[in-house]
Amino acid sequence: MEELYNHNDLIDGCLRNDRKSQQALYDLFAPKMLAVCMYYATTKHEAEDIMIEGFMQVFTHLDKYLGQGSLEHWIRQIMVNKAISNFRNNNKRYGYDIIDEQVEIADETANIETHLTAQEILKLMQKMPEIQRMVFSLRALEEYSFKEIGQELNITENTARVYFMRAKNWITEEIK
Amino acid sequence: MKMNIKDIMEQMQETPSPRCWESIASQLPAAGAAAGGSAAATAAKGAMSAGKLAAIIGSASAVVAIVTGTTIAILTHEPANVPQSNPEPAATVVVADNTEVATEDIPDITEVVPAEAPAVAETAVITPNKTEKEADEPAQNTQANPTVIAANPSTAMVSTPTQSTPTATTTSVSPNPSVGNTNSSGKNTSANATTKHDKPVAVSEQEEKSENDNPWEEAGYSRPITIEIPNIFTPNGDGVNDKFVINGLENCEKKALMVKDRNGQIVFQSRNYDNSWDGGNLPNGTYYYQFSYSINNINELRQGAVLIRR
Repeated sequence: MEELYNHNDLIDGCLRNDRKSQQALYDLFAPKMLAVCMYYATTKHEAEDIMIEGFMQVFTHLDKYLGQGSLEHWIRQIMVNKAISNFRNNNKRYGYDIIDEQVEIADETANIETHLTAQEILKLMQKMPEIQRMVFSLRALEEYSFKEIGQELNITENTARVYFMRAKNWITEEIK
Repeated sequence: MKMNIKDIMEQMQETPSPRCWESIASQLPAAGAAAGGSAAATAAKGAMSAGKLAAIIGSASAVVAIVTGTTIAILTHEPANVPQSNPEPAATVVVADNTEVATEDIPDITEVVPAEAPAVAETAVITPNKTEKEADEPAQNTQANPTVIAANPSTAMVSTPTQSTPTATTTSVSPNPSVGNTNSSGKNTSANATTKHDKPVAVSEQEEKSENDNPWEEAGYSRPITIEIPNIFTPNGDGVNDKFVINGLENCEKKALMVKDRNGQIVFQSRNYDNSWDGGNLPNGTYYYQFSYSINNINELRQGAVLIRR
């Protein structure tokens, strides 16, 4: 409860454009949000760029946050959207092949169990092709549906499934 | 103890570098300005649309280049990938050529070509024995587009025989076959384009005649020294591109290299670089180099970006 109270204070401060509140809000969420951005970026620099853009949107659109759902979730959604648009901007020239192969989806969730640390998993993820990583992160960590992923990344639903299964199989192999 | 991948990732935290908050703070509207929020948003939108406009202009010129590129390809019977691989320089030079032709209103092909030469010389004069400023293309380019290089000598010859003496201007038009030089191929193809538009048949005849000439030796010069700086290297220990290797470094007398990261911090510095930098422990990412060197006591500075990817 105390946390919620603090958030409300912070939000009020940010809406008044009080620099201290803004920095407090940033300090509170930045480490987590940078981690989220890292799921979608190849380098830390790139992730930081996405995060900066995301926080700019958070601060300029904070009045749109109506208190439904947690503030962290709202900010995270903005970060993910920024990461997706960053991906689209980087890749608008290349069309991705439409994959026709039908995949048997045994398990569409990312129930991968491992001893690895987050950093090690992140390193593995950064080795994947960009599109595959996007699909994997959106599905496994953000729990988007394949339909949503397809719409966001401008690929078909089936293609998204194929990329996800490839990523999952690959990562399962790697962490053995 | 095994854990689900999602739970592991949820616990992950990453400390952002100080530049992040600095960047955000500098973009935020000044403290206390209550109505500043929307104003800043509008300003940002304005900047965005300006950026988009630039992007559209950029892509438009690329389209022009490709269109002209295909016409050239059809007329000269060169492989179509020759001009397309270097769309931008072709576009700029073609525009310059068109104005040149339009103002002088040249009816005859023999006059077109000499008129062409000064126009080209303005865009890039490459004196032999001096380093090529335009050779900014990375080594990969040379390997990736062998057709470009192979096609250059034949297309380049078009202007040479029509001029009575092989002057410095002539040499600047002809490319060094060993260099994957964007500008020279752009120049050559555009020179072809304008002449071809007038009389395609005449030019292809000239092309055949001049195929065996070596423009450098004919003009009495040795081949130019080129410095090729890569734009990526992969220090992952696989023996391929593990170090930041500048081709042609052995020809330099002075060779000072400085590399900065995106925050402007110097991450590598050498007064006498020996192609040995492997990126150290730097994280993957883009870095910016400044390479100052001298050849025949002519000082040059080259700068650009290099990507480290392991």
